[in-house]
Amino acid sequence: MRFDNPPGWVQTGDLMFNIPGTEIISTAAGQGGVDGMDIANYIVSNSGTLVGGAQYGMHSLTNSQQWKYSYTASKYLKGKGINVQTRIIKHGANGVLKNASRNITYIGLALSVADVAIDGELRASHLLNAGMVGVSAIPFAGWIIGGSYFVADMITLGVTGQSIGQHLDNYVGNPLVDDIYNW
Amino acid sequence: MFDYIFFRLYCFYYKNEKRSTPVSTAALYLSVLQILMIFSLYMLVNISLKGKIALKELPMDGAYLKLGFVVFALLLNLFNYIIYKRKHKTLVEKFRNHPLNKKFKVWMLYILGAGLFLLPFLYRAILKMV
Repeated sequence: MRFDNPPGWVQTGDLMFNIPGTEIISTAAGQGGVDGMDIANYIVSNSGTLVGGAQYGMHSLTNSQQWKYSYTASKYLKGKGINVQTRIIKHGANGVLKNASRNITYIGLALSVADVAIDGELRASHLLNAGMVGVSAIPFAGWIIGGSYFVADMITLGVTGQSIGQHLDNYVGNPLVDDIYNW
Repeated sequence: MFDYIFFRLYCFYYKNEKRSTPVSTAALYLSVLQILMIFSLYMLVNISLKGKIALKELPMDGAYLKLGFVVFALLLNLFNYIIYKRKHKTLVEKFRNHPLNKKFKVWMLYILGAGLFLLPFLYRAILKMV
């Protein structure tokens, strides 16, 4: 159910609270309030960009720097009574970041597909999301493009409050296909 | 069919990922293809019926439906990962000398994914023209 709250304000029961950034999401969606989907989109988009940024940061480190930081982390954990080998932290961090960013891209695709199937309209951001999943499936070049896109998305979101997809939707205006079930 | 697709994806990422996470990556892209197959099939049927089985007609908030779909997608990915983590070595042995290995290329799966996503829109455009 949607509420006619002031933009950026969410009502849950008798409570009304403000979520930073959601004001712009609701405007982009052309709705008067914010619903669960907007918040889910926002969370996915933000966590995706954060993981993408972390992955980008990890790749920008040299191998010796990665070993050095992993050793520091291992030493810190040992101080806390948790014994983890440096090698496991170094390789594990790469694997976890890689898997996390891909899973978030995958959730982005699932959201886009569900959006198209349920609302029956195709927007430019749906194509962009699907395209990014395809691109990030390609080894090396695709991973670089995917990682750069995540970072660019994070910067865009931080500076303007809207993701690249939302900017694209605003620029294009109307959906590319409106009411697909009506022919 | 899915076993063979997984095998091809697994071999591809095994070579390219320097052996770090090929099972999870291959399971993920297999899940992407499965999601796109479900999407395409549902859309084709629904477009043919002019939206008579539209999900938005259900007495449920669309947002919950979308979130439900995302949860389903995540569970599908987890299921694929668990299944193929167990049997990936058996699949490598089984399909190592499969006759399709030379004819079927991995890039065809990317085309298949894009095709599955765009097929409903193409189908609708054709119906509109007729």
